[in-house]
Amino acid sequence: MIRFEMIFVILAGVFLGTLILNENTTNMSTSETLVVSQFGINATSIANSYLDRISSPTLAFDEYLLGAAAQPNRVDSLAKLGFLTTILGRETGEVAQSLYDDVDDFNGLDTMVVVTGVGNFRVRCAVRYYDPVAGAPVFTPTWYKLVQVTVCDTVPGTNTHHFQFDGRRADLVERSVISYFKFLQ
Amino acid sequence: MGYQVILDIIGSAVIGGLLLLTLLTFNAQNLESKQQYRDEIIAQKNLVEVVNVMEEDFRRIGYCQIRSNMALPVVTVAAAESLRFKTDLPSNAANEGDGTVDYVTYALGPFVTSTMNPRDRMLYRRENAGEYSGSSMGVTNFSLRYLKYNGDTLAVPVPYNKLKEIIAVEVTLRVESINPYTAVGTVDSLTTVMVNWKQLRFEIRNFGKGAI
Repeated sequence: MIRFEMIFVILAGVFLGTLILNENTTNMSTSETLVVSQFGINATSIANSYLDRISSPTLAFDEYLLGAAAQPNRVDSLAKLGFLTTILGRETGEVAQSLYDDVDDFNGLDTMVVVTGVGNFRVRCAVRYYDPVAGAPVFTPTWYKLVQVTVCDTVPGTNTHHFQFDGRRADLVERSVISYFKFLQ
Repeated sequence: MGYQVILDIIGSAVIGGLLLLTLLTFNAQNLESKQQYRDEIIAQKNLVEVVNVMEEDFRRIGYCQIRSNMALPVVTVAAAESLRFKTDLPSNAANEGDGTVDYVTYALGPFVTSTMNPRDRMLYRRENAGEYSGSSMGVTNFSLRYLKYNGDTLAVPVPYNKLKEIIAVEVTLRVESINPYTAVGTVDSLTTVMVNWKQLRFEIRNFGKGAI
């Protein structure tokens, strides 16, 4: 025969267990939010750093504009739209980021940045021509290039991601449109 | 009182004791977690505040409303933990600058003695020859790297004749909680929460008069 005391003990155990489980769930959720927020702070600054670098005045808008025929940084360069590179990416010999000399050299860049005390961040860049009227990337040359930087936390040499948020990969994507006109100033 | 009753009392005392012990441990760990989370939130907020002010300043390195007033070098002191640069500070909320060249200094100051964290230091900001202003935000590391056109790092402190070669600044910042807590299971050791931030590049966009 089950006595009332036994039922009370079981109920107390269940109540206590539920309480502890709930508290643990709350703690884990808070912990996850803080980790993701720390990730976000660093991922944002890394993405900004790359956007800063790509839109830097030290880089040409296009490889063609580096040549003497293009007369870079002059208004008459604007007539040279048809000469702009159609295949966006690194040219021969540009094997390191320090050798990149124009904006679209960053297209296809896939590299790793280490932030001590935080983790490893995978940085990927994509550069496309951009049509400001349509508000969309296009394949034909225009005087605008859309730069997209994606930062995610990745185990080096793998596609495994440390951080997930709500079951999804915590990627950070930033975009910026670079116009040739700013190079004319 | 029968044998069974005595056994019941002893059994319930043991189980009750175990439960109480579990609860006490759980409570201590829970309190530690809560303090850790609170400290981390405060540290993250402090970090974001410091970064916001710094970003606003660093993005304007070399900027001047009257461009011809700005001459190279735009960074005038470049050391590992301090930096002085030229800019044009707004003279009121409505303008972006008054055309007069101003100097802004950032420097890591002495250790803060008024907090429990033994590692936090003052991060100073100074406008022109004015007072050093700063607050105890738990900054424990503020290190700077200066990059050349080809991405190479310049040795610090950067000598005057090489200052104009700086085209980007890399900043690493670490903020810790200013009031450490004692972790469960330890007696005297104090634990702090750390938040790190790193901006790989603050590109100097305004080189001013004399730029190549």
